[in-house]
Amino acid sequence: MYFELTPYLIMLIVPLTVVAIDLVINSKRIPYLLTIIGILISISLFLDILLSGTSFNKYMISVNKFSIYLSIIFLIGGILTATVSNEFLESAHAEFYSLLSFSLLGMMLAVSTKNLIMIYIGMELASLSLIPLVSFFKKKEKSTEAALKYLILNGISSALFIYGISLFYVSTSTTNLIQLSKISLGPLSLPALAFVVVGIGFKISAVPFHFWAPDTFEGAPTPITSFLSSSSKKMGFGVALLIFPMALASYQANWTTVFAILAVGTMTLGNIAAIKQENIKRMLAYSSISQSGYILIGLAVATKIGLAGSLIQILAHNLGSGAAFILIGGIALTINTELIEEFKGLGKSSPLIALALTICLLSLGGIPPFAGFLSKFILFLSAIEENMLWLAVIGIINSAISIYYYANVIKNMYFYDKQIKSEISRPFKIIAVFAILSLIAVGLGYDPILELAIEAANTLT
Amino acid sequence: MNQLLSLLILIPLVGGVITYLVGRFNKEATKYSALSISIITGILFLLTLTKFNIKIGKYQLVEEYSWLNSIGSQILLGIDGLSATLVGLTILLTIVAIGMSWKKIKKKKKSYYPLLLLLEAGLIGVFLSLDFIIFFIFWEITLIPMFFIIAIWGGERRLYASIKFFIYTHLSSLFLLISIIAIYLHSPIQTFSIPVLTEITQTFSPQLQLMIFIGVFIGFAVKMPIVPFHTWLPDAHVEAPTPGSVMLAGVLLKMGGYVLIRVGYMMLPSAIDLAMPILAIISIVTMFYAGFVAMGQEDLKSLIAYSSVGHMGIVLFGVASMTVYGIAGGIYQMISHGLISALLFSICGMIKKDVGTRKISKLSGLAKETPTLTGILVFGSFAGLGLPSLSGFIAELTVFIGAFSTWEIYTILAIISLIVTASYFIWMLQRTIFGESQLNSKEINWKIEITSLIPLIILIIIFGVYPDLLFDYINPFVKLITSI
Repeated sequence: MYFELTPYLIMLIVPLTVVAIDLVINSKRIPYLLTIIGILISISLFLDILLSGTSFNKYMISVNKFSIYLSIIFLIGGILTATVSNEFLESAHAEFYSLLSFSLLGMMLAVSTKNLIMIYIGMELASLSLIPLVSFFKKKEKSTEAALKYLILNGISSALFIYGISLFYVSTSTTNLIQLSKISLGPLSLPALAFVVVGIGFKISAVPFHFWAPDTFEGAPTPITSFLSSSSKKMGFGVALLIFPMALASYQANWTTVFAILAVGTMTLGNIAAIKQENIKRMLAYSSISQSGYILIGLAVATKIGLAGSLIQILAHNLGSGAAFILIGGIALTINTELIEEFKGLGKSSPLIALALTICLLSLGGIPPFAGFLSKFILFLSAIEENMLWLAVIGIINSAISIYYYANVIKNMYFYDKQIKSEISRPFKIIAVFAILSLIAVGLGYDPILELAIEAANTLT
Repeated sequence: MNQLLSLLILIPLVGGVITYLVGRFNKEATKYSALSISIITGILFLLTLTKFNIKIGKYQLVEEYSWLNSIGSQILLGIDGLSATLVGLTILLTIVAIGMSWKKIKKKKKSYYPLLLLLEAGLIGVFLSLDFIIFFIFWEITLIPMFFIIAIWGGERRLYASIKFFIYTHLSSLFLLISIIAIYLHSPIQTFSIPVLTEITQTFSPQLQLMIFIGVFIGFAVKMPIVPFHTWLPDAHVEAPTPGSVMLAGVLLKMGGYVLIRVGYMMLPSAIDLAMPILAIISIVTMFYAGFVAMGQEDLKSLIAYSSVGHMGIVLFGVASMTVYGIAGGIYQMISHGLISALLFSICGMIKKDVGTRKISKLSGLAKETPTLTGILVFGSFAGLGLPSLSGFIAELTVFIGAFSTWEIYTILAIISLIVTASYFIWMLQRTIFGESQLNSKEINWKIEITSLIPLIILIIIFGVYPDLLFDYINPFVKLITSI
């Protein structure tokens, strides 16, 4: 009867076991294998729950299609990171993998609840585990700087968020989202909303709360950058999707406007900043900001189809940018640089990696038949349906601008005759194959995924 | 054999993958693999034509597979007179393009031929899809191989040209996508099926149709291209390798014309009705502008590129006249221009290779150096300026007969623009073939290339003297859509 909780339990047992075993045997492979196996079991358990169609709603935990959909996305981000991490790590493997698993558990909990306190606990567990991971290369100055920025801004955002929650509690005496939706917030509603929006705005690095993101993304170890972009940021969106359409439905007119403005600013500024970046990690960091802007379109529209669009864009961006960061990490390991210019000749020396990176970038740019097209299509459709044609047009113009800098990377990889040496190890090739297959599968519209996203969106309203 | 249409798309697609795998073992074998796959596609197409009933204008051999049920989209393929002619053109020009690549493409053959086949699959997919989502996916897929073909095998400024081509056409397609979404949202039935939506859009108010038509217009105006949306085309053509130009001018531009008829005319007739005078003026401006700009070109290839712009203007002019003759002539012009521009671009590439320059002022005395190539250039130019007994003449004549019943003044203006077209072609010929030669022919053996051009030359003549061969396919379709 508590079968629905087993995936969470596994993500709790795995890190504890990893640390315990490390006390006895100091090995590189055991934490690595245990984590990957744990995540795989967790994903298959979630799929099993999906197929059996059951849900769980007791205590502060609520397992439904929405939470399963997002949890699987986090776990995919986690497995992408875990697969290649051993290539980067020199020591302290057990700590790395256990922190990764704890962070995953936090993310899963944050979206598997209908209670604001649990959301906060989950978010904090995820973020606090991520801070040491960001600074994992403690000898590198940039890594430490990145962690410090992340620590401070994450602290501020959490503080603002919990202050907003406390204002909810003051006016309604409840932290349950469903009960909240039935009670008027009274005079405190606007400040409470503002605090929660700003708090989440930092987590999802929406413009103007994005300043930490490029520096942190650049400085963090690349697998962790991938994790930040593919999972940690998506947790922020998951929380926003949980709180706003459900608990604050009566204030919809207020927050949809805010999200529409945030969406426009985030898409546009992220794009413009990405154009002139020479470091590919930084460029992808800005592109990740602009991609968040598309997710915000769904929240600005706030219809079922809009929220489903957001959920699919979360998946598409999770796969596309998560894999892109990992592949870049793999390339940077062999050519020792992250400058886009130095990628010349890569198409010839490692064709598989170059092809996978190309597909990731085309998908991020919204070119069919890859995943990014399907998600953007549904988001634009939802915006036009709600008479927000202007939002769709801004999104479309941005998506065309983004092609410019994505094409620039592709250009450097393929269009110059230059010999470079790049021997990329096997884990990256696995990720490359996974990225190609999954982006095409989602993009060619494997109907069950679309259906799941729509059903998950249904549980929100 | 009810899967003929999906096989037409799948064979080049899978063939591309096979060609790539072949290339891993033997790079030289890729071109044989690509050629045999495109010929197999051609045979399959002929087989499709035998099953195709030319007396019916409607979609035939329809295939339906369930796909994205949650938003009402499915894989729906069908063929009618319009798509049959364009698919035929695609398949023919792919074979020509492979012939033109045979000796000229020397680097990265392993990726080149698969990209060409992917382009073929995408184009056939565009013309056969009857569901908007799958249509749009194919529509965008064609960009990717073309982008790579220009950017890897192109000329000096290829990077600039390829990115400009990609962003320009991608942005315009997104406006088409907005219109598709608008049609979908205004339809009472949740479906993306083009035949179903075609019936529904007829009931839309003219104002709504006009709003939707704006997005469609941007979509096809950039692709066709129509002045002032044409600026990507000369860059892309000048930098593209010869086979790339053949595909670009021969087929990719026809996607614009296809959308103009399939979405613009068939789905939004009231919008075209309202926009008729504007469309006529735009197309006349396009013809004159392209003609005068072509006259000033120094580069033979960009002259031909601008002649393409002018010829596509005639297509818009014909369709905008909303008459049976106008539309049938427009479709005829698309096919005829596909053949002629492919011929002209091929010969231009061969001349460049042979004498080392494309500059018109330096080409004087070409006839003495390379009589065969000059002969084909003269033939192509005369076809381009609409010499009677060649296919271009029939197309232009039909368009003007149709348009004259709608607008008299505009048609006279359009006919005057043909004088400009004739004069820049003739002037170009006068400057190139006659005069003292300062050229040094390398006397390259052009057997393979000329062999692959022979079908084009024969078809240009056949369609010029026996137009019914093509009109048999076009007319039932046009009669059906104009009777609505």
